[in-house]
Amino acid sequence: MSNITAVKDSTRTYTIALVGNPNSGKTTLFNALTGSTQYVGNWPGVTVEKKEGKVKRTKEQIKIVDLPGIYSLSPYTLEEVIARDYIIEDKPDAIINIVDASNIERNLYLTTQLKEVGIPVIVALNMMDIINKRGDKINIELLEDQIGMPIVPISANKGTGINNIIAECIQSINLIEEKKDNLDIFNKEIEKCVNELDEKVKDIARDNNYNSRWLAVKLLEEDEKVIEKIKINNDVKNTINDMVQKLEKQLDNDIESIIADQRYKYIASIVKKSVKKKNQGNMSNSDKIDKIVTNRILAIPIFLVVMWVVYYVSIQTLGDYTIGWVEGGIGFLAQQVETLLISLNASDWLLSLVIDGIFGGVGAVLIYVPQIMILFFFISILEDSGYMARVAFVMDKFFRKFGLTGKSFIPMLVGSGCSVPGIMATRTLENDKDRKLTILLTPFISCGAKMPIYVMFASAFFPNNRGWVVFTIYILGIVVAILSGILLKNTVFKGESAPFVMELPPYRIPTLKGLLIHMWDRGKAFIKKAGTLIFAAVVVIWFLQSFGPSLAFIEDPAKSILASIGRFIAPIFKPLGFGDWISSVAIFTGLVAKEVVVATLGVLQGLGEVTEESVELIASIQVMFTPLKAWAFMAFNLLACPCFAAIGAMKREFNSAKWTLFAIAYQTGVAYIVAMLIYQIGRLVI
Amino acid sequence: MPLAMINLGTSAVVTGFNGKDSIKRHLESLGLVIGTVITVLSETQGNLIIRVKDARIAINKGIAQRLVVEEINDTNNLCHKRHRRCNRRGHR
Repeated sequence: MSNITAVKDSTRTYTIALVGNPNSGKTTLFNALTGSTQYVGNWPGVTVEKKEGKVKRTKEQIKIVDLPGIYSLSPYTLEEVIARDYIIEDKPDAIINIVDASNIERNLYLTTQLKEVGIPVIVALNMMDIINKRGDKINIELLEDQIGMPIVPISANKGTGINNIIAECIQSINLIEEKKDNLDIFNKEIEKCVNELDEKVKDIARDNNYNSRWLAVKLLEEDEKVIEKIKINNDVKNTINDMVQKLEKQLDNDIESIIADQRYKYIASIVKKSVKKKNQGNMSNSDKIDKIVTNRILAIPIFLVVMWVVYYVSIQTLGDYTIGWVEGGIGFLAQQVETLLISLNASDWLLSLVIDGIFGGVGAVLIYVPQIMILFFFISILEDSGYMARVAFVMDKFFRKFGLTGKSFIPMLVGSGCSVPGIMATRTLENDKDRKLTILLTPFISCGAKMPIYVMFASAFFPNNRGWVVFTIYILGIVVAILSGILLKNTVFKGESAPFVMELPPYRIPTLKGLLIHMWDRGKAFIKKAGTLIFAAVVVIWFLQSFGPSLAFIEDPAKSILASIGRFIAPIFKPLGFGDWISSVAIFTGLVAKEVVVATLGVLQGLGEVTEESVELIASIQVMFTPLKAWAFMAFNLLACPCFAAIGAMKREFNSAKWTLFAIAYQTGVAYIVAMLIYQIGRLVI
Repeated sequence: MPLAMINLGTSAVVTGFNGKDSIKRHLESLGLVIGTVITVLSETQGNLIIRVKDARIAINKGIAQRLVVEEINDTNNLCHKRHRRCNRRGHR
């Protein structure tokens, strides 16, 4: 990393932004440079907010900022606005522009725009491994010379070439002379207009800290966001109007299209010279797979089978074995600790705290960790292979029937892991109404944390059909989301949805390493939550259920503080069939995190006193509930207002307290009605 | 003619777009400018997957109806240059 031109003052901190098209490998490079493990997936829009990290193994302090993917500096969606604003307003010291070499023409479109911003740009030509595999040839030196920016060929996936990038960046930052001020993109007429405007707006540009040429092009394009931000006088305004009118008439198109067209023409001319393709226009493997997977007849059956297999394997078969193992392990540990505590003459309350509270509560949650990790292993395969983006496309027609677009599918699938990233993933939706509606509906898609609730109840009442029962709960969530979509689209969110336009990533075989990282990330988050939030909640619940209102340690939880609270709220849930104090309390503690519902029941049942603990818990649930009540309880937990973390995410993404309250009230109201219908109708039938 | 009327597997040149400006801008950033050669790769209920340069872009029926294209008739010539497979298609 030693560099002659590196600045002598090593205390300076450099900020370098990663900019590029969606799914071009920015986050993969970010992870390689900083040694972090940010989430990477094979679909456009994985990164929806900027992330920062420090470069490893350098003398200089270098901050790397990973930005959401953008196709151009005229943003279309919210996450694109985040990226553009950072580039234009925050001005990093340099930009690493990731260009997907396997799709070079389209990717260079953004590059031609970045060149105008006035920040040193280094092109990281990514996916060189694919180019080599295809047998294509790129003349790097020629291309470098033509676009006037240093190019570093890399493969972020394989980790090749990345060591050179940072050195190149520092060199560029400290280079006093720019290699080439601007590219010869535009024809004479436009170039003349740009130059004229450039002269006129020099002062405005300086005041706003913009590059004057960039500003001139943006003004000529009549970019609304830029015009909104700066004040231009009438003289400039009139000049622009005259120019635009003249050019539009001359070239018979609107001015933005003219400029876009010229950029592409310019790119085509340089790519023609420096890129030699071996097989042009051949049917790629991705096209062949798409022929089957997006086939008009097979597409939906394939999707349903894939989803069913995922849930069947992770819940019924493989997932089920793991529960047994972990249960046994925790049971053994609890017994050892209990023996130890007794031999140490520990007091009753301590014994109760450790065994009933901690082992019972946290243990009840932990047994589901392997199952959730297996589920995530499969979902990661769907994401990394590129299949998920196809499903969005296939589902578009269907989603439109209830007022959404296929793009809403991605937040919902992400939400099946955790609603928080699901809600954030709505930033890729273009239309504000579509986005709000998707935020509201995403929590109806059951998250991983709710899964233990269903598995527990399904094991108690439907031991032979666990997979099916859990599947029906998921289906219930989907049905409610669909009906709510239809209802809300015709009332609150009236208006046309955005058309579906989405780039489909090439299919890739997911790497085992990538899958294991995703799986471990999710498992780790779950265990961390069990050790912190759930642990704390469990201790509080244990305290409230072990002490009476007079603060004396009691044997019978029915006389506890918690029981009094529970009895106070229980009547609300009477019409739903579970009007006892224990389930009422569990529902409320579920606000902290949905796993706590299971933990609460675990503590309250005094789980852990016997070695075969979950058998005990299941037995007591069998006494407390009937299959029908269990159904109503599961449905209520599925649909009701999500946990605090998800409420917070809704608040951030709605950016409005009013909408957040509306969403919570709607979700809880729907949950109440659905659970009541299940119980009341079920009672009549049975 | 609108892109929606183009047969599966055929190529066409973009000649215009009749729709909202914001969508037109987005299509342009994705490489769909006048003169771009596209190929229809897949169709489901009017929604299309098209090849634009080296990318696959999925669009719904609404966009396909508004995107104006001209079919490339001179298949022989094109087959030489970039679409070796269209010989096979020609017989269908």
